[in-house]
Amino acid sequence: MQLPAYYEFCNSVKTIVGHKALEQIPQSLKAINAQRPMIITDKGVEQAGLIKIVQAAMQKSKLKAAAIFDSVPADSDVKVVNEVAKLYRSKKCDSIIAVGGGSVLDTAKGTNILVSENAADLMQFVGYGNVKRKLRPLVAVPTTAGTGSEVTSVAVIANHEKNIKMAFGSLFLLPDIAIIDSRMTKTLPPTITAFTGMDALTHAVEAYFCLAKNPLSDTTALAAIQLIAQNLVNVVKKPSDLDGRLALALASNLAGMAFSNSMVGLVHNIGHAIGGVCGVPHGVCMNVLLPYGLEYNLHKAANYIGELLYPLAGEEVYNKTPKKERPLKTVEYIRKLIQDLHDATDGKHPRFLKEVYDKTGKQMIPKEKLPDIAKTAMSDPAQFYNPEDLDYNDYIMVLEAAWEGIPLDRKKIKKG
Amino acid sequence: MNALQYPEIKPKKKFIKRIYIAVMLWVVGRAIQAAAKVDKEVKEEFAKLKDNFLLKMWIWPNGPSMYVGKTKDGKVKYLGWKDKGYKPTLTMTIKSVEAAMLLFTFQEATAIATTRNRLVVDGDLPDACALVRILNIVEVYLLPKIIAKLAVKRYPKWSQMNPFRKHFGRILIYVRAFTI
Amino acid sequence: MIPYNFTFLSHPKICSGLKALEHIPFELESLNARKPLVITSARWAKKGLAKTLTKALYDSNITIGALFTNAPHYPGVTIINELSKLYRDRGCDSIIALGSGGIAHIAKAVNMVVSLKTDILQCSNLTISSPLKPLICVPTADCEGGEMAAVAYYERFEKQSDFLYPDVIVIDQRITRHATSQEVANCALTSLAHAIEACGIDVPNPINDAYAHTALQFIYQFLPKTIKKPCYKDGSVAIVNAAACADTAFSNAPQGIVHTLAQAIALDTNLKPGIVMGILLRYSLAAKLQSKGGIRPELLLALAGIDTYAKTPDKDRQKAAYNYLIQCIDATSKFVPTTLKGLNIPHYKLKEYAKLAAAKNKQHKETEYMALLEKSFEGK
Repeated sequence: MQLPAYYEFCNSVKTIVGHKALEQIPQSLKAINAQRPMIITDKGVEQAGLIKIVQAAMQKSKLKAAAIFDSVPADSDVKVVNEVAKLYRSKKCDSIIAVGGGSVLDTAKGTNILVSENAADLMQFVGYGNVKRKLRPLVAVPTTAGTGSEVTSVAVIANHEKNIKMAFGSLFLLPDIAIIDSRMTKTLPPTITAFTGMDALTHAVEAYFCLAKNPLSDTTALAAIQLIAQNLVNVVKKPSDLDGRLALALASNLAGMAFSNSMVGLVHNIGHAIGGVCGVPHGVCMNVLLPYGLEYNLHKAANYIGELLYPLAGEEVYNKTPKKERPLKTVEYIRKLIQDLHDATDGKHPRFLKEVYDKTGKQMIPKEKLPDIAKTAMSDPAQFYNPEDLDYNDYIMVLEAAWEGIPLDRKKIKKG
Repeated sequence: MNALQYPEIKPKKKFIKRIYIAVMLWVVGRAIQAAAKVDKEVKEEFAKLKDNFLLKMWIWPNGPSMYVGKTKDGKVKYLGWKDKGYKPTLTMTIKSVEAAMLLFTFQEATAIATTRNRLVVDGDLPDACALVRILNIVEVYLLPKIIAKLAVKRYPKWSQMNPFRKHFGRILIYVRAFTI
Repeated sequence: MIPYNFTFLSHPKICSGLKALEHIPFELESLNARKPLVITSARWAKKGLAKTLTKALYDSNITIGALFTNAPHYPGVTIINELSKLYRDRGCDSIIALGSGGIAHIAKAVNMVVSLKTDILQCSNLTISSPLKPLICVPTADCEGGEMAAVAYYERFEKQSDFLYPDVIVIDQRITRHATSQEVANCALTSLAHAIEACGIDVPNPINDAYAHTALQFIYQFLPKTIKKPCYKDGSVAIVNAAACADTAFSNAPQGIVHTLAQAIALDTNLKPGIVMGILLRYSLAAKLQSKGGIRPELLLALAGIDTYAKTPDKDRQKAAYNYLIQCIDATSKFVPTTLKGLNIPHYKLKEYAKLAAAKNKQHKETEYMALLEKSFEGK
């Protein structure tokens, strides 16, 4: 273990984990003087019956939601945030329970800024460190496993009218409480389970070898990777495995802790760009690009990538593989995991970019879009934390290989 | 307890370090302006930025500062260290004088300083990416290889920046940066 | 597999390493604070640490409300009240504890008084339900446990609350390098005991394990060199990092048998709890190794790393982990005896300590406490 010359680590979310974690919401809110929570969620979560489960769990301690907003869009929007804040104020709420994925969490964080600071305009809080005071209580209940956004101190909210994305960064944006309960991911369809699980795996893997890695992010990342490797395929094949579901949700939480403190690199860099240009879900992009992120950085992070073979493949494979071969074996195991998920979802889980289809069967990433994606990736700051530098041609090289589904030709990687 | 024994302590200033940083900021600002005229890649990067692009690079909380922006006719200009009512579209805030010293004495490369949270970037994040690429090129021009290798993540090979471009560009940038 | 069922909280932001002190102004600003009360001891002021901290706050907008350099070791009512008055009189809005042990607990107690606006003795009965004023801990390497945890020790009280965690922990070699070898031994043993007891619980808690394992890694890797020469490179930074991680692990697990006994003995004898923990831990581990549950094999992974763990056959891992842990304890053997007898603790006191411990922590029976004390007395 290396002690970095300088590092920072903060994980100040109270995490409650269990098959009955939701039942602890009332007493947790009571302990911080909150009695009138507002539930913020989206239609998908509501229709899956998850809000009813949350409410039933709260009802056991006679706590009722003072208001419910269930129309958060897939892409968090400032207009919606203002609407939610208005409802919060009119119902005299004093806390928020956000039940959902990244967009719901971001909307909840934005709302919390407005209602806590008694403000009408989020613009004054944009940037890093502009939220300087403790906000009102926020409970995060993630419904995927997942984005890890229940432990991140950032929120991104789009202003579609002005065509800008507002990014907020502050430790005060961290939720007070995160509830990791197996019931919230129990009904997640196999395809979504697969790519959200790969999203969490990417968080942990990138956190382990990117430039801001530190001892605590390392131990949490390794724990996350092991849990995902042991449970993801099983849960995709047997969705009712509640212990497995809980393990994956916990892994996503651990991975969130890891990457929010040591950042991410190439995989997220390109993944964000694909999401922006082609509208592909975040986890799907991460899934395909992960092996390429490792191949691209192998010459700079071989030792770290080699160590990942242990949590991914187990000790037998780790011992059998000579040290020099472990990095490439890690990549092989990640590709194997993607293939296993592809098989377990009857081919729906994509292995390469050209295999990403939407619900109507249309290809979502046409080859002609790759230059646009590369240009967009050049504008994403995740590249700062990647061990190796990237220019336009490097992005194209990675994208073309990921599109075809062929391993990266590492001889072509520019090493400076 | 005699409270008078424990007076209030107001922060002093580290004058010499501040002067050094001010000079380095001036050099970087002038070098960016010069590189925008001399180097094709830097020119292209700036061309893609919006017309109202204005960078503020400064040390929190009392400066020194450096402003570089695009003028009305699209040229890149070092605008000095005084805030003349500028509205930066991109702000790079270095958290302390000591953090700035680590950066400007090349003990920490820009990428490393970022990963160590020594600085905060606010504003248009795509522009921040362009700026980092510009700074990398400027550092390769300004600094001898042995130091530039510490400052940038990937020092360009011959195929990426041929020696003629590097050395000729270096001369031009030094001349333009240190003369009017 | 035992299903997960736990709660975990770690509040502090850790800033560790080169020029960490210079991050303090920015951290205070982000907590909306600009006028800290700095509390330290005469010893650290004499070593120049107060000056180092003051210089680190130059060129910022932070005015030190008062730099108190006479904090005693014991967090008593008088000093807490005096410092609370100083805080209020100077219009401070935050506290920086420069040092460990009593300094940190005095700072936490003062924070309770000024934030809850009540007398310190009333604080023990109050439930804290909202954050206190910003508190930054700048530990020296003579940690005694609890400085960076969700607990405050003052007078004879022990108060636990999520809101007693410091907001920021700043670990800088300029501060940590000044402890003596004896103090480093004490700090490392406390951290070791807390980390091991935190991950020895029945209900699995992978998040807490991550913190405990990190503490163990730091100690195993850095203790031997640091104890010989505390000012050696960043060894002291690593040991204090271990203390910070172990404190979090300790805050998220029930108090263990070693901790409870060591506290009882330390209160009565004024010995450092870490020294006592080091002795008790040795025999507690030996007993655990023979018991049904055994020692968790994953401790070997934390201590020795992936390569060694993977190569060690499953059946040998517990013993290997035990050996590595004893190695850590043995690294302090120059400064810590191997038996309670070596600390001049009379045998007749053992029953009293067992009783006190059982009254405080009912997780274990008096007979269990007594059994460990007997084994640790002469090492038989």
